[in-house]
Amino acid sequence: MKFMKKKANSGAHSASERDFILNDNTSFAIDEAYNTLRSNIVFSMVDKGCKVVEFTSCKMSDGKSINILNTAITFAETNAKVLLIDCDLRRPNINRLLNRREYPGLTNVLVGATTVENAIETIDEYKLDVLFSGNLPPNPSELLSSKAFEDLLKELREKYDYIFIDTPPVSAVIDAALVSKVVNGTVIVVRPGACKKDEIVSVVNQLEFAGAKIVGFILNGVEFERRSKYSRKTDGYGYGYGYAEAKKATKAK
Amino acid sequence: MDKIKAFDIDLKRLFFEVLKRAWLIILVGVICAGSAFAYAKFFVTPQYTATVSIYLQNYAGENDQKIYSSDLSASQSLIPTYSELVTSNRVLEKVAAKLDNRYTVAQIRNTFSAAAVEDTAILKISIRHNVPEEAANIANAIADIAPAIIMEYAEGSSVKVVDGAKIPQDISYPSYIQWTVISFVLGAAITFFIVVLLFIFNSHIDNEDDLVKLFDAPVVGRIPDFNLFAEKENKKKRKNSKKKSGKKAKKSSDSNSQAAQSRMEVRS
Repeated sequence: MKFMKKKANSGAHSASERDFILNDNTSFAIDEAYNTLRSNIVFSMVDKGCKVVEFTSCKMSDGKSINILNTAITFAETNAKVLLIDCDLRRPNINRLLNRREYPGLTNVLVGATTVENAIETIDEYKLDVLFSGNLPPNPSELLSSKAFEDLLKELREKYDYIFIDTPPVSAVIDAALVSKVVNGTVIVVRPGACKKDEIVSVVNQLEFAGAKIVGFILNGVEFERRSKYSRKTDGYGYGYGYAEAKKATKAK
Repeated sequence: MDKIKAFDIDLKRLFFEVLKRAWLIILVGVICAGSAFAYAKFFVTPQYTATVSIYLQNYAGENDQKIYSSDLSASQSLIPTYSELVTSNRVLEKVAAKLDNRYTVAQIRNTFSAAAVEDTAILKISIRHNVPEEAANIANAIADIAPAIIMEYAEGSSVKVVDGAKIPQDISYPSYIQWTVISFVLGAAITFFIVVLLFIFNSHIDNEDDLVKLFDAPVVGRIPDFNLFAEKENKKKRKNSKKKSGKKAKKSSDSNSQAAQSRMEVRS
């Protein structure tokens, strides 16, 4: 009877997910989706100072890593100082998306093996700083709930406008709930058709119990209507013909 | 965040979900209808029905060759009795003998059905058989034998054959149209019911509404399905490039024909 149900769009493998990283050839509609997400996050967190936002999800392959990377890139486009930290110390994905090694990274900094300046890598292409996960530790939860991690974040808040933290799915491990104590807000990535209602309720309950401030949800993998009610029939996109080309021309400059 | 809100069934969404699956509902209906038709056509032996009409007149008073309304009422009320008499062993044994004992009494009784014509004193006897001629033969044999025996039992009554049985031309069972239509409706209805049940008991988060109903936190981002979006974009690009190449081909053929025409003019 599975064919009667709407098939949940499956998560993509890292290799093909790299195609989904924002670039000059990304379609206007996807760009705008991330711009809208950026605006919503900004308006959800109006306190002054550095905003630290955690991305988590219900399950694996919900598209959390690609979305946090694209969101960080979108914020970096506004010339804000943005840092992306891969706190998934069990299955790090940010380094695979960016085709880099995961070390030196967060874990190496937390154990004092290197400095944060050495560990942070600047990705010039996206004007983005990234702190990869580092060598995989045997005790990820302890590291993420340690004072060293808290102090590291305090130090990094002085240097950046936005810090995005990629954490494992809540249903898998407790790490996201631990990190939520030291961030300004938590965003939950949900893939339609993949997560059951009681599972997401359980995720939210767990985060709330840990004291997380849930900024909102990202629906990853919606069937997108390209024409908005404001578009003319001749337009392929929501804001009028030529806008997309004008935007790309500005980007190219 | 406030406590999790209860959610309810969205009828509008249910309607559109069913509409999306309409192709499946119709397909299953068509398959069921086709299967029923094929089964009826190739696996069910067609049956033919021959009918005999018998007029039964019971005289409540003297048989003075006048018919009174009481006679008519009496006749109508006695039709069930006469119907039973027709299927008695005494009648059917004589019918079997008339038919050269090709059938037993039980077999003839199994083919037999009788019904009174409403508000009349007419009894219609129907015989169903897979050979149309035999159906007519058995019905006519009953029509020949039954009246005399009924009149023996019901003294003072008159039993006359109104219409003898003709050889039926059309199949009476199965009704191909009826089977096909009923199967289509049943197949489609069951599929529809399953689709509705799956929707009602769907426990997955499918869209924004599901999240909004459960939580107070907003949906801050709606990211398109990259793979689906890429496919649509590629299709659109292929469509556009076909249009463009079509236009180019038309332009070049137009310009070629114009050039050819001008050459012809020059020559002339």
